[in-house]
Amino acid sequence: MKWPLYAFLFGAGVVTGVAIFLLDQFNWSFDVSVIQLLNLLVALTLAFLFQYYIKQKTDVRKAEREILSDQISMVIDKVNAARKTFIDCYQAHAIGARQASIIKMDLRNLSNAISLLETLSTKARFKPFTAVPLIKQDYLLYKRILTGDRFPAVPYELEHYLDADKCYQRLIENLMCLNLHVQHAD
Amino acid sequence: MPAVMPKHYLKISTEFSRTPGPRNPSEGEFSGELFLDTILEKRFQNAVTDKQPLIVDLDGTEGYATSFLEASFGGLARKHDINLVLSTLQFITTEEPYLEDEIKSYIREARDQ
Repeated sequence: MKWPLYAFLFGAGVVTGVAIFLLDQFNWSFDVSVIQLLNLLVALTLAFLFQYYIKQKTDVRKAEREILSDQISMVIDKVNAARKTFIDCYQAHAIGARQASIIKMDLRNLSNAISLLETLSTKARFKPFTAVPLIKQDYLLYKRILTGDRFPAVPYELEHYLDADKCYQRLIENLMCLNLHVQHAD
Repeated sequence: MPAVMPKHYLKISTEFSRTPGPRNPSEGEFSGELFLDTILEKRFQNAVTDKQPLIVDLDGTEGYATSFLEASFGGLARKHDINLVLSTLQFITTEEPYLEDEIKSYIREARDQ
């Protein structure tokens, strides 16, 4: 709230001053007193300030929406990266030391991305984010399926694949729901 | 690392491994059971004797597998009282904040196994 307001007030002041000067100079007589003119000026200023406040508020919400939406996309990317590594290992019927390390790295990245999403969502004005605790819960389950049991000594079985896929679908579903919630929040 | 070093402080990445491994030694290097037997249990007992918390710093590694965490912290809870384990262990995990919740769930569930 800097130059637009000052410019408006300056412009309004100049117009009023010129109007008063002309009225005085040429003795033009209108049925408009100086007080009425000032009233009009005050009303215009209030209207300007009100619309400016509404615009600012809308801009903040839009920015929040964009930040959250970007972070949700980031989480979706991490989920997909973790799934890709998992499927590669499942199809190879083996989990080598390097793959084990990549899986742990993928999960760690995913955990950090969800953690940041949680922090952002607690600070955002849109409430409540019921999907975030579900996403966190699904992440922990997903990690358990991918690195629990006898990881990495025993290759992934069909059972792991099916459990992981169910969990993946739920994660993506909850992330999409959260995105919709963010996009449509007032 | 905390500003004031606590008496009982265990940093896994420097005192055990930057690459924590699987559940047991037969499955690979730096397993959870190895960590429990060689480091964690002794440090836990020292902390309990001194009636002080044991600060476990989880940062600085390449990530933890569920099997490692379950074997080490869940394993500790199977050998000692769960409430004592929960009240003695404190965690530093800025790199992966959910690890604390995850580990505590393995400790609580240890009684079922």
